[in-house]
Amino acid sequence: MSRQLRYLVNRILWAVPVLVGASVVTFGIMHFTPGDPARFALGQRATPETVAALRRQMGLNQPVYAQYLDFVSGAVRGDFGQSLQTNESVTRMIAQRLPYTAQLSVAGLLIAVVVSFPVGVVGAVREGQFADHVSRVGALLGISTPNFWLGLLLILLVAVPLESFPIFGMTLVTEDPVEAVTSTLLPAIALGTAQAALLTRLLRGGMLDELQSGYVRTAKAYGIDSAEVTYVYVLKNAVLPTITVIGLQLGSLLGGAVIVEQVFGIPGIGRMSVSAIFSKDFPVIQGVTMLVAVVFVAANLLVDLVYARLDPRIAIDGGEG
Amino acid sequence: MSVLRIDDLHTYFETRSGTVHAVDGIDLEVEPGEIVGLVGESGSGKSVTADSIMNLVEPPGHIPRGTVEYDGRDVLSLPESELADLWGGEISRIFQDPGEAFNPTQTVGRQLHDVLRSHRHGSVHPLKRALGLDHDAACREQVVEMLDAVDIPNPEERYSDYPHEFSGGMIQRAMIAMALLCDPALVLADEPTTGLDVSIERQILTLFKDLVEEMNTAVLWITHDLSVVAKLCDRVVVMYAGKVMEVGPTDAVLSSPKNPYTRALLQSIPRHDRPDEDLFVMEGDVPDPLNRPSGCRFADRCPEAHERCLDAHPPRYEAGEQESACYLVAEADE
Amino acid sequence: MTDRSTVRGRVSRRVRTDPVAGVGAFVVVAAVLLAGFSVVDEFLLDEFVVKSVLHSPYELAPDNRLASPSAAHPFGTDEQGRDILARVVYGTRTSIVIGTGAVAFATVTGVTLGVVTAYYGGLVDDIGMRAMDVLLAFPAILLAIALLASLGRGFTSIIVALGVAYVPSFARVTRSKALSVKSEEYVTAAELMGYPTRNVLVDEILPNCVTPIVVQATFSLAVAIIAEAGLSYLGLGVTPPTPTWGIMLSSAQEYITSAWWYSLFPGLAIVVTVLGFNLLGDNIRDALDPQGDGSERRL
Repeated sequence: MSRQLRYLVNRILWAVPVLVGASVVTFGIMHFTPGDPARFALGQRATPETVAALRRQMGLNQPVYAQYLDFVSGAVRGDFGQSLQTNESVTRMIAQRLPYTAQLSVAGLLIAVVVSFPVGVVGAVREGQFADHVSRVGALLGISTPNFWLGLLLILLVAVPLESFPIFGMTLVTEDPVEAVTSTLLPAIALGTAQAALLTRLLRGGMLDELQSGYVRTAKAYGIDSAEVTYVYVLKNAVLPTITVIGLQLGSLLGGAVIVEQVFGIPGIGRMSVSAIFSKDFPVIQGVTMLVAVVFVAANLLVDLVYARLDPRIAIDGGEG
Repeated sequence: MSVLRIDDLHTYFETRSGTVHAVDGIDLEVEPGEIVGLVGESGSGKSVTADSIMNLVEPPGHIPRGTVEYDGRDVLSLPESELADLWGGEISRIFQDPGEAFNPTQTVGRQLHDVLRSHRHGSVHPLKRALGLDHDAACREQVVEMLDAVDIPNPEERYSDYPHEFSGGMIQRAMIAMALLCDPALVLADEPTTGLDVSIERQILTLFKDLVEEMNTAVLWITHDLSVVAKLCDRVVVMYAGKVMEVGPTDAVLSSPKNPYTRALLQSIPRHDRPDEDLFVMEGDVPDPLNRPSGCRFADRCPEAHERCLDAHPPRYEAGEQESACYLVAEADE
Repeated sequence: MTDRSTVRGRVSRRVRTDPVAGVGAFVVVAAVLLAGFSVVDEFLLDEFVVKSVLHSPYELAPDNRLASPSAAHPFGTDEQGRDILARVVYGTRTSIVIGTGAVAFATVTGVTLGVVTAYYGGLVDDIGMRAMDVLLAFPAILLAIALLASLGRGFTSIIVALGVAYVPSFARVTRSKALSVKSEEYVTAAELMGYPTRNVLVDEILPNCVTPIVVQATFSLAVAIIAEAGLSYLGLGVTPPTPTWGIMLSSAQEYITSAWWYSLFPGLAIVVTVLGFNLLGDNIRDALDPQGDGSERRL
């Protein structure tokens, strides 16, 4: 089997148990909670009959493994049941709110990547100089600042004085592109800054490491121009591992979105999950959690694919094996 | 005129614990087309010498004293731009670990091409290079020819292979190809066959010798392995603790060494024809590079040392075809 | 045999000489002391100290709502007239206690997992690492939120919820170091001498993994403090009237235009504290990995 194919199969074999495990965890959250989920949903004043009826409807009287199988078969079809609060289909609720969270996350990621690459590279290339110190201090502050406070600061210092940035809600890019930009920019900055800081640190460190490599020394000893070596050889090698990290960081990006949505009143999945927690609306929580896990696994698979194509050590079928 | 002339070279490294005297005053000459072996144990200063010759020494290392003349030009005072022309173009370096010398994410052929192109056409903007717009067919052809000359089979296909697809011996040949690509006048080969199978080593040595003789390239071959020196080198320089102990034609030095250190080195080689003999081990240790003794560097381990040896490290005395830094030689004449 | 002593020496030397490292250490120590002080002050001294120096963090003063910073109230007052500075000081307690608790939980669990999977390898390793991957598939906040739905609110719940989210990092770091330690000679020697496995793990392997674990712990503490603040902000933190920085910011948002100090100072407290931990973590990590002649490179 070719090296590349082997690598891909390996990654898929990784993904499947993780998804299964994620489904177990998601399922477990509701079922290992002390107390009766039906009673939580209906409140303290519900009569025993209504509770019993809801229990039957939710299938809570079946043995645990049967409930799990129900859950999984539903999940695979994309059916997570109805919200205990609004009786709406969980899937529909998620579908309605997903675009907002997606837009926010993508924008945040974009900002993180666009900022971190130049800053990280410049920091490494000008190690020890002023630009490097600025980039390092900035990165350090970036990872030390809570995203919701950054959001508040942005509201206070930018949105309120300038009045061209809405501080509540968000317009989708499909509705009105210009409005979308103004309503997404501040939340995306709040969300993406911590990621940008982390990526900057990683890239800078990665480049500094690569600059110590043997091939850099050899290239120099053979008279190849240092700009060529740095920006073509070294940069590519330093960026590769950073790409895998971006995939892993997707998790914290989505987590950050939950909080940032709250700050800016964005009607996304994050806000929905928070209110679901308060009302112990388990089907919603399960739906969101499972979705996030799936997205994470899928994104990482994609990242792995990209990485495999780019790194010749994996992509090329070695003659020596 | 000699291709290379080193005069009283000192290379020191400033560390937190003190100053390391890596190279402590050496003189060396290499004539055009000559293959000179530079022999010494680890810590003798051999690799640092190679770095110093190319003016490749980086802080905290520095060269407080001495001159290095390549083809009559003072290498140590050249500006960076002229050094870049020199490096790879007229003076090539073969590094110790060829696997490390190549970028794993670029093809071997491309890397050789870049060296040749840099010396032919100068440097290009990184963007142009990233897009591959700098590629030159003539350079490519020459690279393929060179790969063929170092006996890499299927050079056309191998051009597009990545370093991890080459075996140890093959990547070393590729390294040699890179070194000889621009037809340099001098090659500094730093332990290039260490770690290779003996049979492969022999192949590569033969190949290398043929090539440099054909191209009339001068070579400074740095090694700790005297048997390689015997096969390859016309002259040999023996280094110990940053100083030159003995210099001379290979046959002469190896058959009748005029320096106690050289004698000890030769004695240390395990002999296949006397398998029951105990291995000879030199007593003592290499002197601390932070704290070199003031007398002869080898005095504390030398079986023939006497009082005079502790005063100052001896200058080189002539002894037949060789030169030896040993007072015993001087006394033999007296 | 262990690298601990020299690393500790290097760290303390850098803390003494390098101002940046010194600041980090100072902030961490100050935060811990403040946290401890507020516990002592509230529960043992009946807020004696804070009342004499500033004001009680719990004292309502309806006539003095949302007062801007002044000599009497250096950080201003909140919507119930409470002194913000005093509340910020007391808020240190929640952050430090929860942060430390979560990291302690994650350390114990994660390190055990890491050492065990590294030592036994094979199926144990596969299962262990897959379990970690499963945990990593969920963003920490979301996982914590989901767990809190299950566990209810309160100090312990949050500690467990956050702790679980951080276990994988510790497991990975420990496993990584343990794998390289495992191949060292002294481990083989101990095994050959017939040491019981538990002793090999605890006496030989574990002590040599300490430094990367400490680095991870410091950074995780920084992350945990931010996470706790985030959870408090969402209203999922500890119950009032315990002051926490997150809850203060959540209340502050309503008055963002009228009382800028309310949004500023609690956030600043978070940034400073977390910065301190990150600086310290950087410092320890650099002391771990000097470049040859001492020219240590920072990230």
